[in-house]
Amino acid sequence: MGVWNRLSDKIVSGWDAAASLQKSDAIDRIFWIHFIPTDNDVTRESYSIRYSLYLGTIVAVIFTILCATGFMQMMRYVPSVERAYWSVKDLQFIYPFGWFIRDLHRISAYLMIVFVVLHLCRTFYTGAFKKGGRKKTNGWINWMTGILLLVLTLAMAFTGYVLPWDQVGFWGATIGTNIIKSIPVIGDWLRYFVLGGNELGQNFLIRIYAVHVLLLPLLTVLFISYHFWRNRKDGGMACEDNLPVDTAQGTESGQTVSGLQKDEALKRTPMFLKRLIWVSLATTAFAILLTLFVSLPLNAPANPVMAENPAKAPWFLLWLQELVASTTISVGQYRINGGFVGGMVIPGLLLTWLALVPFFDNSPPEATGVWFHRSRLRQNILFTIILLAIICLIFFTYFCRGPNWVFFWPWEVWPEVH
Amino acid sequence: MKTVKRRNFLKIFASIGIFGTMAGQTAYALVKSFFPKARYEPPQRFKVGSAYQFTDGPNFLAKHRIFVIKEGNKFHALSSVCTHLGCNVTFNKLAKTKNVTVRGKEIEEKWEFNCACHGSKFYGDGTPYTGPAPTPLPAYEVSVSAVDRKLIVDKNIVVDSGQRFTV
Repeated sequence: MGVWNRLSDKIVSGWDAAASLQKSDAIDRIFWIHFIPTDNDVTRESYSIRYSLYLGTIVAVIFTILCATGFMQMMRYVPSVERAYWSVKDLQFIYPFGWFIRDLHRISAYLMIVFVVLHLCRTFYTGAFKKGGRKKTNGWINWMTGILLLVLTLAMAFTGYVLPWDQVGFWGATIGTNIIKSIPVIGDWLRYFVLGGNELGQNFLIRIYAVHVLLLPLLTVLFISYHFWRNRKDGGMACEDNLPVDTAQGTESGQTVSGLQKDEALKRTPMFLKRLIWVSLATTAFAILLTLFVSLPLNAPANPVMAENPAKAPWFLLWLQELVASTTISVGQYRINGGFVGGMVIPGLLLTWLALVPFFDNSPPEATGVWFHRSRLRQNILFTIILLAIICLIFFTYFCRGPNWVFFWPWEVWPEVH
Repeated sequence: MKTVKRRNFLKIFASIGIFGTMAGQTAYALVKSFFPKARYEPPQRFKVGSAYQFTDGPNFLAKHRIFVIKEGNKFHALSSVCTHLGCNVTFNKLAKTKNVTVRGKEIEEKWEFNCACHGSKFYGDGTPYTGPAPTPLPAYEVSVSAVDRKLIVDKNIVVDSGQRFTV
């Protein structure tokens, strides 16, 4: 015992336990003050599940799960065209619980897309991007950051499903890079730049791998942090904008969550931290349950000369696939490739419209942070129509497209092809 | 009017020149480093075999993603890469021949090409008639090697789809 104490004292010599405790206490306080609001600063309203549904928190938790499972997959995956597929297969069948890591990663990726979109809907329907009564609020900056994070999420999902180098991934990558090629003037050069050659091969796979495991997650962490920080700097949730201000406390007639003095509140577990823990645990449990009950089998290995028939993209890209398949248009004698119209112009216009919404919003400040405010009725309807159109396209393409991209009713039996 | 001293002007000019050149070189090298100097890909001009080895109709060459089409002693080569978004088209032998008018010419066709990814369909000569494909499947130049009499296809040279190489 004595030897152990002396040894451990040696290892940490120069470290004063008491002083350190003080320091770490201070750091804890400062960290929590910056990371989450204290109960003194915040009204009950902004913690309410009814207002925010905690969708952003859920996304952050799912992203953490993705980072952890992604890291574990990196130690088993080989980014080479010969071995990528078989290393994923090994992960699925040879490594104990490898299937769990992989399926959890994939389920979480799907959940992340779903919850990012839900979070976008929540923000749109509550008009949280607007400037309310508060002076220094710049909701549109966080709104734009959110759109950027939506794009990053989809980019991570796309690069992620290419990596197993199976039929879906390979042909998805073929179509994706040919959409790049269909851009007028610079398309060919850009595709060559992305592929590092004329064909999908090793150069492309390793690039996509590096982008998927390093660049995109790093950018996402960066922008998620900014997204959080921005929210605090804007004075918290948008629903607080229109509460009557009491100058003494800065909140609704002095009614904070705790009603305690500042230092006193910090010593207690803040209500938000409790909620945070609950939401994290519930989200993780939900993802794990889905993983246990939903199986996502690997596709056949990539065959560069024979696509599956029908070759369908993963569900979150199906609406784009239907668009690129049906938007080739003729202008005079020129034909414009549907890959450019449906794969670049239409999504580009949708994103631009989303980004510009805060600047063309004429609703009064009272509408800030209010679900379905009447003054925003028209833009809410437009948003809902676009959203429903995308969801309908996904379902339509999933159930009604058969071999050779021919229309079939879901109950019809597909004919045998090749 | 605000004047700039010659000394200061030269200073600004020189620093923009020097640092601008450095930044430019870095950017150039960075972009350039993404373009390999050699590609481990099948060549664009290649031998496909002797004429007698082909059967009548389209012969699919998976490695080069082309169809070498034989009609008697006449040959031509069509790309098998869909002009829409690059999937591989498959050839579909028609049960009975049909007459179609392509670009003002009536032709009798025995096969068609289908793309599985987005449902484009092409006539036997590569002209798209339904689906999203914007342009016809390109036809490549066919020639013969003077050395071993094997057919050569050159993907760098796109020819008219009516052109035939007679052996």
